[in-house]
Amino acid sequence: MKSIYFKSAHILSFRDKKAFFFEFSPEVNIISGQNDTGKSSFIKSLYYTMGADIRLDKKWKNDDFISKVIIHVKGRDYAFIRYKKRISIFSLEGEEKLLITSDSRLDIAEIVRDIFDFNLELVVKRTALQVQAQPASLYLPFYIDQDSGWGKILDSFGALAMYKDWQNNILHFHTGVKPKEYYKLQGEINLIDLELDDLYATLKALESAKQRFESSFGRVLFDVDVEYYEELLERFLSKCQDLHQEETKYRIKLIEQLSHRDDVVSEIDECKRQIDDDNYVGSLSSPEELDARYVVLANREKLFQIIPELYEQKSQYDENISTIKGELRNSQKLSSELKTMLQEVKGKLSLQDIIKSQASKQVELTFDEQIKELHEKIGELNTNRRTLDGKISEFTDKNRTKKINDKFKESLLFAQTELGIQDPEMGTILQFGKITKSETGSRAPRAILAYHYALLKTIEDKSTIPMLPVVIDSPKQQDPDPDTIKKLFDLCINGLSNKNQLIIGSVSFERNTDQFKSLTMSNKGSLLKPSLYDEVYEQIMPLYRLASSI
Amino acid sequence: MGLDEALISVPQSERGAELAQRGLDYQACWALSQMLEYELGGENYVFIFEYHDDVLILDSEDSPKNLTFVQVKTREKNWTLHSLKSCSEKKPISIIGKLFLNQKNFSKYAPHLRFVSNASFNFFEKKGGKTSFVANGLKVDDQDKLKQAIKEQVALKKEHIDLSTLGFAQSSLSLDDHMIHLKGKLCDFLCEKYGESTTLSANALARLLESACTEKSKFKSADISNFTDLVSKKGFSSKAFNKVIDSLHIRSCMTPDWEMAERVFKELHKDSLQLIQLKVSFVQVCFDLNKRATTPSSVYLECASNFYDQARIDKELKAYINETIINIDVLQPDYTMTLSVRKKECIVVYSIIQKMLEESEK
Repeated sequence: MKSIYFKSAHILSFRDKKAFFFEFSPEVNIISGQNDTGKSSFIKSLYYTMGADIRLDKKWKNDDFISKVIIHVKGRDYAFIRYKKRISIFSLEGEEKLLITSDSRLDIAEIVRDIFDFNLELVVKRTALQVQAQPASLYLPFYIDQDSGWGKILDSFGALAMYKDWQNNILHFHTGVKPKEYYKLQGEINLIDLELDDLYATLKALESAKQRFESSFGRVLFDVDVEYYEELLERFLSKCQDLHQEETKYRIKLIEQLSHRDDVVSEIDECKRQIDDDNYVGSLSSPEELDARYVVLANREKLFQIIPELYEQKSQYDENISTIKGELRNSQKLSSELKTMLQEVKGKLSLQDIIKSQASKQVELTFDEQIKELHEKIGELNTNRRTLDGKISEFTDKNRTKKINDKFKESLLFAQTELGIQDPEMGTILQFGKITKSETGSRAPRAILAYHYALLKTIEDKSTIPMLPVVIDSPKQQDPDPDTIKKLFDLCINGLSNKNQLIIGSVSFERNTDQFKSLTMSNKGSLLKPSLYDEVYEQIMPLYRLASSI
Repeated sequence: MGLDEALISVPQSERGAELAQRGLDYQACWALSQMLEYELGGENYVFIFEYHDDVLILDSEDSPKNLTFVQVKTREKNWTLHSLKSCSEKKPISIIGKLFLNQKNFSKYAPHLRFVSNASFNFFEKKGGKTSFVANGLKVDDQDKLKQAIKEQVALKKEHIDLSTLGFAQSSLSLDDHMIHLKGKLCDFLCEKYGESTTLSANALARLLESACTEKSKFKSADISNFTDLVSKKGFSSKAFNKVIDSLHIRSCMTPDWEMAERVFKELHKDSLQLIQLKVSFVQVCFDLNKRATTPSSVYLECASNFYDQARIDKELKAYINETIINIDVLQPDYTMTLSVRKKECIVVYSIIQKMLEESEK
């Protein structure tokens, strides 16, 4: 018994009042019918309903249809109902329970993730954001579309190109090179990275803010205050200098006057000394003696005369000295007052400085604290991240990748041999281009099938992801020879139905398919039938209304 | 026997042992001022100090005929007749008696007697400010009292006492400022004699003459052997006086003084402050130069005189002075250090003036 399989599919056309339903075998289901019978539309409708974007026929699109699939996943049944873009998912365990109803593929993706334990996250090219991968990413290896599946590899669904490096990531995920555990870890790492990015961004902002603060805050405050105080100081300083010069001038004058005064005083002393020195005791009896005595006396007389003059001079100097002293004292007093004022101004300045520096310190402290906090958080996250990196590295182990690729190559070689591909291209899972591309006409579809086969076998053998139903539409492309066709169907039916439900559609099967559940459409456009409308309507609309009523 | 001989041979009457200095000063001053008056009046004279009496005035040093005995006495209070005529045991002869004793001793020469003092006489009624009078002009009663005293003290008969020979005078020289008075008189005399431009210092001259007179006063009478000696040692004749003054005048004209130096310094554009200091230095230098010993100033002056160069001086006085100072400084490094720049300047200027005075003399 397969763990995941489609139980049924219902299609209802509102426009034509026609409907169709089919109940699947969990094993192999054969859908046969000519072109334009609606076979492909039916096959397309399965993963389409489950949220994959498949290119639909224009004609069918115009039918205005609503579809529903019930899929069994690990013991639970889920119903997917899709009308145009809107998808509703129900859990059918006991009472029907609506899990989601949304136009948003992302909303649907999250429920699909939960249902299938499908945690692949891909990076959206446009936004560079890593998000839950769309359901189509999950379904990709399991579906080969008739129109798109065979021309190019992995091209059955549209819209996946929106993801960056989508093929590699999806293939790695499915094959277990980077399994869901990897993506779980990756998810956690991503979360951490996201948080780290956030923190780094904040840190950067903080640091640049701090820098800006440091360079501009100070300057702005400083500019304003210092200009004012500088001017003030300038004025004071020049005044001080003036006073100082004045003081010096007075001082020089004072020194000059003092020295003159002392000069005069010493002259007075000298004169007095000379006068006192005259203790003449000689005789005056001779004329010569009289002469000499006269000169002495005359000189004494002159000294006597000059002493009052000197005293007059001295008192003049004394007066000047006291005047200059007064001026000097005045100037010194002024100067000292100015110095006091200057001190006050300096005091104010330093107070300003303190206030300024305190404020800026506070801000810087806040910056530093926050930055520190951020660094701590970042450190913590980085530790976590390293732990996760360690764990995740187990999955990026080269041996493991090699083993997986070996398995892939083995299966590929088998399929290529089975399908009779001559000069097959060998390669790893990611070398899908090289493997599937060919210049000869019929080789590409078979190479694609071989690739898919090897891929699915690898998934079957190595991966932990759920084994979804394999849906292959019209593998018989470009009319290969009958033997090859048989081998092709044998490969598909025998090879791909071990762990997967297999739904395979073709115009004809060149082998016996009697033991498989079959749906055969013989008439053109005969898929939907008016007779089934009411029954299918009852199967779809109650649930649909349940979703719409919410 | 001529008067000149008589003065020497007649023994002096008792002289006061103690001669008060102030009294001497006053006496000298009075004598000098009197001499000046005689000079101005064109009279010949010889003043002899402390010989026979306080002052002895003769009319000639060659052949004296007239003589006057003068008593010069200073006193704080008025003179009374009594204080002049009375005597005691201690002082057996009165002031007036002493004068008449001298008259008696030299009666042959009919000497005049004079009493001079700073103080006034209460026994004479002042008339029109006149302070000199003759004794026979006194009240008859007072005349008798005087005659009586003289008769008793000097042993003269009353009829031989001629009071008309005794004059009293209150001198215009006061006790305290007699020097000033003398200077004033001296100034008048010098102006009269040499004109107003005289560089002689009345002050210095007054002091000089006063000291000379005092010295003469103090000269011991015992050492006098003849009249000539007397006149030269203890006296001052008009001739001697004029000789001294003339000599000083000539010398003064020949000695550089500040007034001349000032003109030189003014030429050097010294300001008034510098002039005063230069004046002091100049006087000090003159003072030093006048000493009869070698002084830094005299050595410097000698050097300066040797460097004298009229042509250089006429060309650039200031430069000459500076160069000369530098030159002397090199020659006399030791003396140089004892002199200020100002003094050096003064000495150089002094030397210039001296040379110029010498030149003009020639």
